[in-house]
Amino acid sequence: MKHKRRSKMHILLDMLMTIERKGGTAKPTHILYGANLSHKRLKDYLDFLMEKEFIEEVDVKGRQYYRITAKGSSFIREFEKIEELSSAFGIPF
Amino acid sequence: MAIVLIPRWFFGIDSLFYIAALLIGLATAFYAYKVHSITGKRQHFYLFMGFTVLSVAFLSLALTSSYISINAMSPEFIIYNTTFDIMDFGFLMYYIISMVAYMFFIMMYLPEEKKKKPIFSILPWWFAIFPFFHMLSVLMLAFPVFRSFINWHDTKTRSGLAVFMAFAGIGMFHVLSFFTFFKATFYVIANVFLILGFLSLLAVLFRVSRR
Repeated sequence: MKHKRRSKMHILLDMLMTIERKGGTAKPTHILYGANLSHKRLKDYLDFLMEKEFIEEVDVKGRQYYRITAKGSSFIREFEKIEELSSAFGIPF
Repeated sequence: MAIVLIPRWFFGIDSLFYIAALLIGLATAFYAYKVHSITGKRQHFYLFMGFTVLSVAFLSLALTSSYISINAMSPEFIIYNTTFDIMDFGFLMYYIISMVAYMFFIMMYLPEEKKKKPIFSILPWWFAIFPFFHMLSVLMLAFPVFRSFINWHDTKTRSGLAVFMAFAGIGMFHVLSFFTFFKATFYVIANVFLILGFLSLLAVLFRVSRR
């Protein structure tokens, strides 16, 4: 069976949706399993999401968590619009 | 000096078409900007820039054609003259600005590594004179038309078809504008193709906003 490779945007969406499902704050391991990523790719994507201000790092009882921001939530809501516009113009997404 | 034949009854209607094109172009630019602010992708930025610049070009065209329509009511008004006047300036602005917009559309579809070259420097600015402008516009739009056709062919989506029809409509506007010194009907048909192209784009925006 042939599987279609997820685009970067779809991976970011999966990560953000994992965090949202966990109540808005999630541990790195939860994001890793929720979005089905390797450790190395997780680090790269977390850095990207933080750079874009979609998530922020928070410290809860000495443990590292990631919290989704308002911009990150907006990305989830707007994702279908982004996908529709991009595919209409043939912009890789 | 070029002569453009325009039916008298069409004076003013063309301005309305250009205003509609300007508004739809701005709406597309707005959506493209929103998308770019989230994705940060270069292609979305070029899409935003292309439609923003094209809207400015249509603003210039709408103002110029409105000026002609209003003044054409006066019996002393002469459209054909040999001096460079406000109308010539308005059309020249439209020619130059729209070519910049088309360049952004080309850059949007070029592979990533090609975009690093200073593509604006290859634009033959001396070509911005009627009717050569329309020839150059057709050549420049051929690439976005081709790419949007390939995209529609691959994806088979309604939005993909609508975008292809939008670029093809603008392209047909330029093809038919080239013949406006033969017969006035060409001017009307050219403008109808233009507005159909932009209405097609409006359909894409409706689909995007409904999501």
